[in-house]
Amino acid sequence: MDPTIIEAILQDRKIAYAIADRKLNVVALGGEVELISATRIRGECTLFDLTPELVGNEATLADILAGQLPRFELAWVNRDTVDGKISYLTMVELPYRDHNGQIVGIVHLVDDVTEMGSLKQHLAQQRNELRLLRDELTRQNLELGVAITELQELDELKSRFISVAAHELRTPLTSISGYLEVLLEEEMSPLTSDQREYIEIVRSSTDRMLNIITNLLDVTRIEAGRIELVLQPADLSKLVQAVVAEIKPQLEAKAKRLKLHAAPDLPPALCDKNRAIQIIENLLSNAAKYTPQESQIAVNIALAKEEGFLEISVVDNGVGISAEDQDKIFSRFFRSKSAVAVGASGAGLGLHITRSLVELHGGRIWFESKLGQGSTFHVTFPIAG
Amino acid sequence: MANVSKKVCLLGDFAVGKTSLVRRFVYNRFDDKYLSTIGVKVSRKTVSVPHHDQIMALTLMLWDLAGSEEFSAMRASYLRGAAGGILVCDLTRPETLNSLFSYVEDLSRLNPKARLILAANKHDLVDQHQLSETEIATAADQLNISYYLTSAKTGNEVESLFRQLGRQLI
Repeated sequence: MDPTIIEAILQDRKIAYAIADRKLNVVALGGEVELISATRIRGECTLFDLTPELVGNEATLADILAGQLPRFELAWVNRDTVDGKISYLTMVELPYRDHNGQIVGIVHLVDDVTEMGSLKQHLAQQRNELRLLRDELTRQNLELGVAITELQELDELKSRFISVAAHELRTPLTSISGYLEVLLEEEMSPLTSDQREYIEIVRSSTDRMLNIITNLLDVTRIEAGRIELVLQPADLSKLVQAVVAEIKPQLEAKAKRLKLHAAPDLPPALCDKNRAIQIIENLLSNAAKYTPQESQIAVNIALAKEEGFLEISVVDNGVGISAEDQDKIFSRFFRSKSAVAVGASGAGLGLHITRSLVELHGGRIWFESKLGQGSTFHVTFPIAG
Repeated sequence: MANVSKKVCLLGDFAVGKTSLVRRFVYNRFDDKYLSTIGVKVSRKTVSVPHHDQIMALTLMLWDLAGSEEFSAMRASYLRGAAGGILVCDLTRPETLNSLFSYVEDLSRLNPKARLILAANKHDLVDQHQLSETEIATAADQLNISYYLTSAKTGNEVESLFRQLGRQLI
């Protein structure tokens, strides 16, 4: 082939070559020559002057010259360019033979693969950055896992403590409560009106404490998954009526009216009667606590919009819940600002327990409320059968 | 003054700081931006090394090899003729220390006489260290080599690392 054509092809394909004699002195250069040299070379030079990448490979070159190695390749050799970028080269060392087939030197070929190299570098960069990110996430995940386990252990410890403390407190309180009943029934001796008043104050405080302790025990049972429901068909209206009858004196004392409306022919609900009563009691007692004197509370029982459920709604025109507090109202130990403002007592457990019990039944609880305008709480129970 | 050249390969997983160590040693520069190396980048630096009551000029041909495993197939051609190796791990990534053993196998298979040294890099990121000096020392002991706690960012122990290997090479 015409040497001019060969030269044109080499330049077009960005290939350069150098031919070195057996002493590795460069005797010829061709093609895209500027690819070859890492630094500008003037005058005579060796292959090592042109290609520092071959330093250390003297034994390899000797093997080629001895005919023991047919080819040696260095792929993706990085070189800095004058404009601060990186060019990528593939270098190949081959034996250079004369007409008799004798190896008289080495052919050093350089191929510019910058275009593909840049793409490869870009991919490697992205892949490695992703790996680093993945490793970091894995590490953080492990750390979070350890932190979560520690927190769970602490939480369990706290629950155990509350449970033990509540049990230990309840026993003497129950005894105190029993003896107070005996005193109030005047079985031993008649009471003066002052004595009766004081004992009733003590009994009221004891009941409050017992209520708080019962709630604490419920919370620890709920969190430990130790509450088991005894589900059976029950007439929700009757359960509500029973609760209403219980709290009526409390309402009448403050001239509060309670209106109960149950839709006719409602099917029975599937619920644990005691727990359903506890749910209704919590909602009604909240409504009573947070409504002013001479106000009205309404309780409605009807089929829920959600098929297969009954719905109880408790409507009051009490203090309401601010928008800011609404997200936290079912949280443990949370007390809304409006509840604290009216001086109502409580540990902030009632609604948390109520929600947990409703959800254990497979029902839902939700509410609408506006500060100063009252609240409506809704709970649903599944229909039996 | 006698002048010798020695080929030294930097080996270690991706992003442990091989390129940064070379850049710090050769150009006394550091760039926080991570730039993944593909293939190999050869740099050189001549250091004066005492040898038999004389000072010798030792040109270190530093082969900064890609850490990603997709270049492992061509690693053999890069490793041929290496007189020494710098094993680099990242103090913030424990797995990079374990990987060094396979790099040692690759290098020693081709160059049984190659001298090695360990660089536990990113010493400046104290808060993020996941490897203790004891763990580094244990690994270095197993390989029967010396180690340096380096920081390409601050330059800590970088010069010492290369010079120590240089002394071992002559």
